[in-house]
Amino acid sequence: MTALSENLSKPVVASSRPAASKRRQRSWLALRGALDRLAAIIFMIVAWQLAAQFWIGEKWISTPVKIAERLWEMLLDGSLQIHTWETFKEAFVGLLMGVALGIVGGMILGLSRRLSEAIDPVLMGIYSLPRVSLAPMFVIWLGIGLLAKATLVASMVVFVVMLNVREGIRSIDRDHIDAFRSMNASRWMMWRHVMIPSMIPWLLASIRIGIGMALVGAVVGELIGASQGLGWYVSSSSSIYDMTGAFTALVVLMILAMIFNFALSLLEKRLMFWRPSVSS
Amino acid sequence: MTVLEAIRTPAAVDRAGASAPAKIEVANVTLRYTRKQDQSESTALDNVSLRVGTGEFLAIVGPSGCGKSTLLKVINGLLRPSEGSVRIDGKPVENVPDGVGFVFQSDGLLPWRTAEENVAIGATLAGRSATDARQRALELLTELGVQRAIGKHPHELSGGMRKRVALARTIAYEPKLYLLDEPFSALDAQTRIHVGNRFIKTLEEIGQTVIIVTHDLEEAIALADRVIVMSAAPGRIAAEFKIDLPRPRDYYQSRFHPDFRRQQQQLWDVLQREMAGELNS
Repeated sequence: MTALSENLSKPVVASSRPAASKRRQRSWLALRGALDRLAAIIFMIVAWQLAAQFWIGEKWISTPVKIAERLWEMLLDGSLQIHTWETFKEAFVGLLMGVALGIVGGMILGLSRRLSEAIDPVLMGIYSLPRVSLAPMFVIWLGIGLLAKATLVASMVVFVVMLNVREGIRSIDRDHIDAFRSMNASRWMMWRHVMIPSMIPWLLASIRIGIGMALVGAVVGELIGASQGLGWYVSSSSSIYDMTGAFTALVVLMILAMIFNFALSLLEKRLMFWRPSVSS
Repeated sequence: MTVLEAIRTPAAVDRAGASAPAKIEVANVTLRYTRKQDQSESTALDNVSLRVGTGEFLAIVGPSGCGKSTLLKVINGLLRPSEGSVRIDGKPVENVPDGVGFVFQSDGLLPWRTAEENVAIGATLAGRSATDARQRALELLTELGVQRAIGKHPHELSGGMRKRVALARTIAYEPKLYLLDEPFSALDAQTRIHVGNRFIKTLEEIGQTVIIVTHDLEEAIALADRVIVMSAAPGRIAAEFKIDLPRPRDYYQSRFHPDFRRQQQQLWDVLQREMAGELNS
């Protein structure tokens, strides 16, 4: 080996190591971000309280203080847990059903371009249809229990997942497939090492959208026909002009959405460690 | 270099070039394809014939888009020719044959696997058990001077390190034929010399048949026993030239060998005559 090439290997190493000061700056930025978020939440709560007391009126938008009191009461009498659990179950089971079906459907469509092109118009038609309008039918077919709402949720989630997974399969790096093919890898090896990992970012992105849809589906399902759940609580509170009750349920729904998203973020960190951009 | 010597073949002792028994025979291969955009038909390869001896180091040079990468994929069975045939060790290539290693222009490493996991996949596909494959991966990465890559994912590695990991993966697959598709084109000049040297030393050590595709004429002369020049699309073989620089070679230093300039000049003369003929016809 020549002296020239020996020397060349060194500068490459030095530049690839992040400096300690950079790391300190990054942790300061993370802390500042957290403080900013906290400040934004406090600002909104204070603004709401002031607007309710001095401007719009409590009977229209309730107040954060009253909502906090109601939350406490509901927690003590157990109704908070009952309604939240009901809505969580509907959204979660429906999300799982939708994601599972979407993965299978997306894989089939991604692998068969011909089938995909054949049913694309119909698929886009159903996708564009407001699925909420199916809710009354699901209630007729499946009753007012968990299954009807979970099915409604699944019907909303499934298409996003399916279209994303299809796109994920289509956009797999050609070189990865060729590299495996050139080494005579089995189909199973290809799926395990190339196809499934390539699909995961697309799948996670679709689940993120799906979470919002799942909660919409669960609440709409409860509006159509239910005897408990946060959606039911909103509608029954509204019907007796109990704005505090309606807003309390909305706040809980919001927290539920945040928990879902947080869980997904943890999953993303676990599954997408190899992507440098995700950590931010 | 014990690890590499283990997979050395007797054929490597004498790099006899084209006079050795044929490893690859490409006979009248034409490849046409239909463009997606306008459904027009294009010819990527036009009646290409070529014979590569066992243990030979062949370079294919040509302008971009001349079908040289396509030719490699045809030899590997990844693409099927419209006409003509390819034989490896006398057997016609129908699907992807065993024992052919391909190093891609992009390194083709899986971003979700660490360097040693990527290399271990090659060893697994060569029939090793999981623990054996991992052991082999660590050995090869050390051998190629990229111990630092161990435990890291491709995005944490420099371009030059990724190239060496990709070569390690291919070596782990224990091929009897190496196909390299512009392996250094994405590297800057200094890294190219460093990585190029690693490649040439390692490949000389292993001593298997190698075909390297490049658009760099000097690189081709510095590395190969024989250089084939392809014309612009549709790809045809325009000229062929034997290089007799002594081995072992050095990716960069070989260019200062007194015979290098002479050979480069001769090759250039052939090329000019070829190009002139092309313009007149």
